[in-house]
Amino acid sequence: MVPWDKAPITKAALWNSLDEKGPPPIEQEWHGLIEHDQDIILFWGGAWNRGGKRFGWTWIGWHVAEDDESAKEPGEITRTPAVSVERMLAPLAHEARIRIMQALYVRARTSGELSEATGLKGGNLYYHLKELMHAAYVRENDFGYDLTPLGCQMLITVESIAGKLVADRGEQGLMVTSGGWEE
Amino acid sequence: MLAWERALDESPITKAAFGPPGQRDGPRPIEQEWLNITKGDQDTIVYLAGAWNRSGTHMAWGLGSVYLGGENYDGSHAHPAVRASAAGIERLLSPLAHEARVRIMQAMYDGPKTADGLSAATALSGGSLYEHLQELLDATYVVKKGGAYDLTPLGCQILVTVAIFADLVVRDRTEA
Repeated sequence: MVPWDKAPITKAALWNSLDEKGPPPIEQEWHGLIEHDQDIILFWGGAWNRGGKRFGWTWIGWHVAEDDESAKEPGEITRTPAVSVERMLAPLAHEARIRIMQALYVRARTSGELSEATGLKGGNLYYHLKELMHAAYVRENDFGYDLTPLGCQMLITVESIAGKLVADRGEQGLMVTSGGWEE
Repeated sequence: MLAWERALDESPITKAAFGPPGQRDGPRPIEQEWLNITKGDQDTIVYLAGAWNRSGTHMAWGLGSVYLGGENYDGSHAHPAVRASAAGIERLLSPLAHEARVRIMQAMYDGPKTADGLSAATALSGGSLYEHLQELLDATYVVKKGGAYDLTPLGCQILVTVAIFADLVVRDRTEA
């Protein structure tokens, strides 16, 4: 149960998104701000506790044109290099690597423990670990391997999107379960 | 003060959550609140909220996952992030983990495009373009209406999210 009495700001800003129909209050506020074509506001944040260590973050992508003239410039979304998106997602778009990251979410593990948890062996396990380390989602420490804060953020976020936004229909593809609100 | 800072200053809910514009020493108020309630091992909170204006159409969505139950965590139950289907995550991300397909989706962001329009915008032609379009249609990120292709609301949500993530995340890391 969420202790909302200890989180009044979250409740005031986002409460509707969990239980009620319609956009959360904070988005109703944004509605009045995105007056130009291509305006976008995106908020990403969270917190976790892993083995007593806490980490919290908030990121806001706020791309709102200042006036009608600047609204004519290409928007943020079309300016982001497509290759950056590929580089960010490719390490995560792989079942075995997600299983490695899931095994590391609970705690850091040695390669022997990872092998046991994922069923991946030797060179195969090491290959995927290297891909994840190259992307800075996983790091090696004295004990073995652990997620980086970035790896944690990405894992719990893609899990949340996969679990809440879409229903996975296997080979039939994805089905939208939360469409949002259009006006 | 920049225009967005003025807008933030005049938005009481946003300001209460993120703090006054220009002031950033330590966690934002909403972040501090989350740090206070993630008391137990494995407690996790994630929120994504977004709104956009595409050719006058406003869209808003919010997505939250809260797992607070870790105070008595004994390792006997799996955390949601650990329980999620890894294959499902692969299926969600694969269509997007590809430069050409991201370029196709970006080309549709400012409005629906015909196959010729997409070809001109992305420099992909014929079979290659159709193959990528088919993958995006299968994933329901793109829809064909009449003679033109457009992003679905889901495709738009995901594109906006990953493009802004990539902008925030990858910028820090470059090739390393």
